[in-house]
Amino acid sequence: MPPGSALSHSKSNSMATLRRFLHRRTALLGALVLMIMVLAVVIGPFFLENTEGQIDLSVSRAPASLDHPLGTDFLGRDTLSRIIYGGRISLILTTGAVATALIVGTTIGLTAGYLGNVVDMILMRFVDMLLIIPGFLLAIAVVAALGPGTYNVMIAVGVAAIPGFARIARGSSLLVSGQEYITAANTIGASNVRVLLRHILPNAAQPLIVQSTLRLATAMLSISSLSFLGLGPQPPTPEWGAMMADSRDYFTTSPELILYPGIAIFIVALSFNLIGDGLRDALDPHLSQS
Amino acid sequence: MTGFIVRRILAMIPLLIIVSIFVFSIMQLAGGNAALVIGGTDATQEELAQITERYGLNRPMHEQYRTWLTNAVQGDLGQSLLTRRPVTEEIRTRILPTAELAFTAMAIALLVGVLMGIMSARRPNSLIDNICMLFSFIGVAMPVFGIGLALIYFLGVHLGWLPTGGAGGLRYLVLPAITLSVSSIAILARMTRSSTLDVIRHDYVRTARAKGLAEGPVFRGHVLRNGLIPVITVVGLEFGSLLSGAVITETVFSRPGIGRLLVEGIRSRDYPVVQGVLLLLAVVCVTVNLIVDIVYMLVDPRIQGVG
Repeated sequence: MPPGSALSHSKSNSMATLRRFLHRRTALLGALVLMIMVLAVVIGPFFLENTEGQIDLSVSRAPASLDHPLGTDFLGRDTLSRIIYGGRISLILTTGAVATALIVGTTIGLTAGYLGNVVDMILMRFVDMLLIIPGFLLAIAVVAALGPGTYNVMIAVGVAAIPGFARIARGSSLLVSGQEYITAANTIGASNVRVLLRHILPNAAQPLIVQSTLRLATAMLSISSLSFLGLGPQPPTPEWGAMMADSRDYFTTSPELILYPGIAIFIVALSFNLIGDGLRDALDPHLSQS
Repeated sequence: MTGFIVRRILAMIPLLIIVSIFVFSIMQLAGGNAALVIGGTDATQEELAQITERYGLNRPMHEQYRTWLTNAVQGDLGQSLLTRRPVTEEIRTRILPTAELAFTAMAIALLVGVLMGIMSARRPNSLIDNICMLFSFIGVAMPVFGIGLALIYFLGVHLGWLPTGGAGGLRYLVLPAITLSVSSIAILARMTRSSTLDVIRHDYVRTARAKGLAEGPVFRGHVLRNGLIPVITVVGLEFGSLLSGAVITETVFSRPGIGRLLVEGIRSRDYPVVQGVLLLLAVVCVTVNLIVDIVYMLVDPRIQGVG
């Protein structure tokens, strides 16, 4: 086998994966919608003349107009700007939570699977126990301990998602730990950290990517739910869930104030799910028909 | 069989200990100074000293934990800092609305979700299948409180058919139960569909068909009996999710249950109440998990005492 063949093989593999992903129209749609949302949230504020916190009671709960494409809320703040700024916060918190869970969970899982024996037993017993408690309840418990707040919500949702990542990482780690190339790497004196990062982690990458994408959807819902309950960012911070809670008093007369952020949450969560499902099918063609 | 059950019950103990340590430490983590949390920031030095003495806050942590746990096991979860009533009493008066809500939502989810999954699996890629799967996609992406608010707006405020909040008879239960069940319906439908489709591919199903058995009996006797086994696990997990979802639903519908008690407790820093409710919910989740494992073994004799 020529030296370059392994590389080109993996390249053609990822091309096939990409092709399968693009073939799923729903996944593509999800990716497209998400891209538009992210773009709007990132560059949107540069085009907005009204800053999101500007209070103007003379236009309180105004209908849609040229000045305010989505109308204004009960304090006369521009709804579109608030949704865009709120999207920044919602997306940052969601990504932060999943990144936390991914890093911590993967470290735990890979270590447990690779080292095995007592370490594996202790770590995984702990993880399995946590898996019995529903994620959202775990998140509430962590918020209860840390107290309500913007970043506490992120940490809470992140911590709650750790067990899932640890399970998946451990599975992939176990799968390859006994194989010859790992023994070979150990034999030539590679350190444990090096073996874990260079040889075991790549094998766990695919399921972890799928899990991360699907988790982003649940994290988005959990974070907005906690905010809605008043446990997250406090007013006047425009987070989508918090915006919906703020507008509850004007619910019967101005339902659109609740509707817009609700639609935003729904669209982003749906997109993450579509992309996650598409990725799972693309990376693992055996599973695709179920 | 009995051995398995005993072993599973024993395995619950370490979990419950970890849960209790975590719940106990909430007050220490959050308060920093527990006496200040209990007495409030306007308490005098003398009062703080009294509180410290009374609650034994100057004793070592493990001793405090032991006292707290001993009391908790005996049903004494302390006093609410807000109402000064025993936490057990607060929970007792609020548990019924939550139990009603969770069980009704579970029943709806089981009925609708499993039925949708079966219909989908019977005719994969048909119109019904696509509608059901579209619904399940939408169902898992909708925030619970969004569904609740939408139902309140259309059925409560606009049409005035049902009350929008509070607790009482069946009429008060309809909207919250539907709200809470949506995501579980979606998950159960997908799970039922995929596990049923898995079974259909097996040889024994082909054999049953080959020997001339009609499609109905094949489906009921061979496919469903095996296809529904994995669903049991999901039901167990979903019950836990329903309980935590009840926290949101109760807040949206102003339903006086323990979920709302928990949220109000966190917001007003009423730590004994928060600890009590969290402990209770965790114990319920662990117990449901145990029941599911036992049921699983009863219906699937292939799993004998593993775990």
